[in-house]
Amino acid sequence: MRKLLRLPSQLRRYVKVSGVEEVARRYFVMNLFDGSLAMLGVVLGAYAASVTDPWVVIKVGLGVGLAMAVSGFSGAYIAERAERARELKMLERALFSDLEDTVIGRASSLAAILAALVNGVSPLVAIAISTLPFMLSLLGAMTFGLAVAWSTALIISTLFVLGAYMGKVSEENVLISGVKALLIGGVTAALLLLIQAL
Amino acid sequence: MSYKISIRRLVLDTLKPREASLIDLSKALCEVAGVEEVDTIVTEVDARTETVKITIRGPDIDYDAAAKIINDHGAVIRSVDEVNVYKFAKSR
Repeated sequence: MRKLLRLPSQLRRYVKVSGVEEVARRYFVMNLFDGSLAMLGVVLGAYAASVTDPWVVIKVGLGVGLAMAVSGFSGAYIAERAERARELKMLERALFSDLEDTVIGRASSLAAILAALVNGVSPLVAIAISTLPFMLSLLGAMTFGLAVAWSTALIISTLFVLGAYMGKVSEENVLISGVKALLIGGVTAALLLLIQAL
Repeated sequence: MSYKISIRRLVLDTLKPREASLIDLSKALCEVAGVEEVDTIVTEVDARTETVKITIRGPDIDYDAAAKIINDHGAVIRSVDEVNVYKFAKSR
């Protein structure tokens, strides 16, 4: 039991030693951005294809989300594990010692799993945000057209928040950074609406 | 008359990964049975490693436990440079 209670502090220690916080933050932003734009494609693509059933958008969104989560988790795990294993081996060569069963070795294994989890879960956050208006539409709280507009607005707002957050991380102008991300969303939305003209 | 020999001071030459925190290592060593005080000095810094001189003081230092803590932090003991031991009568 005492060991179990010590877990959060141990976890914090491993996170600190492995430096995974920075990697996880990068992965989170990258894949949330990815997920948001993919969902923008789904929402506006559905609108362009004259879909009127919110269930279709929710199901397609879940499909995209699941594929992105699996791809995000496995891709990040494979890449991160390989990088961490390489670093550990180089460190072992420098120390002439086996680090597998040490704080460094354990932190290295955990870092790969944590980074993969963050990378896998972050697109799901985007999917949850963007499908919310369609769920409300399904419950009859709003029309399908309004759900499309709300979802697009939510996605673009998410992009703005992400951009602003990155501005905060880089200690630059939060507003400019947010607007830059917003513009990317806007341009993508405009391009997607062109599909409707086809 | 029975007596016991205890380690009161140890100076260890160790090599540790730069990622391992010196403060965490020192605190963990201070928690070892029979340890009262720990001094750690970085004497050399390399790209990936740091050479650290660790001085441990206490009335009855458990060397094996201290070595285990050092190894668990990813550091290796390269040599034991100084040792101070003393003998005392065991009370029955």
